[in-house]
Amino acid sequence: MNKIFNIPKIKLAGDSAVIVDIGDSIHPEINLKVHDFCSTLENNKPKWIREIIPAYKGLLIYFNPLEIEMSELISYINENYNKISESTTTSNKLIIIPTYYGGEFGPDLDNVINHTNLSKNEVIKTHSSINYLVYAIGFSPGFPYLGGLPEKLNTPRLKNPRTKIPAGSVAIAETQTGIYPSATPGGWQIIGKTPLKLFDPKRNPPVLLNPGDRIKFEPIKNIKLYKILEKEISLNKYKIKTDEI
Amino acid sequence: MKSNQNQKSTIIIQEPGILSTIQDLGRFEYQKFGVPTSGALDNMAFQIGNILLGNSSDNPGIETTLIGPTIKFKSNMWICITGAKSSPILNENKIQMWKPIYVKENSILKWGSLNWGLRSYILFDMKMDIKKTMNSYSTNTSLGIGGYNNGSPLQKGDEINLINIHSSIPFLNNNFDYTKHYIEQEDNITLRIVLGPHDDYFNQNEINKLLSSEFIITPQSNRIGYRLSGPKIKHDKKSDIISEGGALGSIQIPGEGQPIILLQDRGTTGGYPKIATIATVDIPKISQANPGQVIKFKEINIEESIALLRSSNQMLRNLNSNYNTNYFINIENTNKKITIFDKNKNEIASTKKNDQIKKYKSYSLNAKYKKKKYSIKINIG
Repeated sequence: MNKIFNIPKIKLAGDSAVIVDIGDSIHPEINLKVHDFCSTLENNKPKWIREIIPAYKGLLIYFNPLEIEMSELISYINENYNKISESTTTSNKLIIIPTYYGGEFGPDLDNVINHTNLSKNEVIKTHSSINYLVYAIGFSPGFPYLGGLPEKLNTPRLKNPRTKIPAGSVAIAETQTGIYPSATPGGWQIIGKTPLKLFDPKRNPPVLLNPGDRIKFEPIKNIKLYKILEKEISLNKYKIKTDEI
Repeated sequence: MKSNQNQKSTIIIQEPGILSTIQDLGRFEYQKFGVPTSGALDNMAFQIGNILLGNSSDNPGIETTLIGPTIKFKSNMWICITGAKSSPILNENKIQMWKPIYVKENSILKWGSLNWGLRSYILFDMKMDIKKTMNSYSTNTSLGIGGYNNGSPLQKGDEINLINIHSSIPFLNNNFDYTKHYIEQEDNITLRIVLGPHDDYFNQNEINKLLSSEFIITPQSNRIGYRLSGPKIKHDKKSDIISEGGALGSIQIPGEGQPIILLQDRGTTGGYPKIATIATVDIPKISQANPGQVIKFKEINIEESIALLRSSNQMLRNLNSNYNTNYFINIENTNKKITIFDKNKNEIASTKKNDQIKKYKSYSLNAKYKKKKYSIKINIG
């Protein structure tokens, strides 16, 4: 397990796409290599590559089969895999996600406290002490698949999923934590909310987080501060806080 | 010479129909951010309609579902309706599909019975004056993205402005036979598939089951995907994969064993194994299929799938070169005289000053074009 392949495994996904796996499991090293591989392919992208979607352990590459032979595509992928350069390594910036924990914004924080036998402060401190890796973006626009939730915070999903979770909700499910970019149904335990907009179709780029980014939650002390931040964000006066890793 | 390049036109949605959405060929380069491509499901019907109007094949149009919208046209324009056999009616008269139709100001478009398929496309010889969202006009109703009003389907009272993009009328060819260019309109559907990417999650018996059984389309089918019902396809070991991107036309098998075909509004990533992928040229077939219809799968190899795509693409290119010729003639009747222009709006011929244009009369025009002389006779019907 946690092996990085010497040669990528290429699997057909119909006549216009291939899955390219470079590892076999969910692991930060494999995932970081996926993002480096993706950047290598994105640089000088030939026009017959239409789109690349990076995920945990590999990529989906959409290509135009009328402009490239399958055999050429395979050698192109293998050549670029050997060319992954240190310079394309994903940024070491840390994006700060201000988050208000508990109260009306975190209706399930008590469930997590009860399940984990930790105090409110311990839950908040533990959840906001970690640098999480954005393994991939998917499920819904801008939704980050985050890795690295401390084991002691693991809490099962709600028995009855909610029909609507407000945009910006920060939640926990089993070994995962995440942020809902838009109002969607969901069964995760909601522990807080960020005023940041993770997805805005009218913004360029529309998403706040990219695959390969690292993020850290920063507790907002009170509702008043949350409202101030929310206003600054809506007026476009808020500058995203970053930190070095 | 008066140019009509900047003229604006408007269409008004009087009744929205069941689900009418603005679509183009899709939203690309945003899937890595979790944004689905969307776009016309039957992109063959969509592209042919645009080509017949002399448009670029991605000019946005309206995708209907079951029953189309009732539309009032506030100005004259050309439209073309393709896809499902939906009996379009203009001002109480049945109109032909797969043919540019001249629609006069204040006309009303309605729909009769649906005789085959599910989705029709209404294309215009104009461009919709709406803002693109992430580089596309396509509507995704479940995510609230694109279209006329923040991802909403068309609603009663919507007024869409359109802008002229042509200086000439569409090429009118009465000999165009859509059946030679479009999918076969049959009730029995066979979808050609290429195995993979996760066929190794299933043993040969289960793959044979997929290839030899009949599946029924369930009512839980939409632009995201088509859920099928039939014999259960069992996974060899696990029924989940580590989440990864899923291609258009993937056939995923969730834990309960009933296949789901993923279409244009599918989520960008997913965690179920995909036993096979539908040939791109067969996506229009599934897009036009209704709940209750029976589907069979036929395995082909990747070379065949690509060859099918190549010939379909060549057909569209040939059609495009036939319908987008540079030697266009435009006749403009201003009641006092008839003038013929070429595509660049240079006058080629016109009736004499003293001619009064009346119905049931014929007129002779002498034209000079590309150093050749022509005599043209026009009968006003």
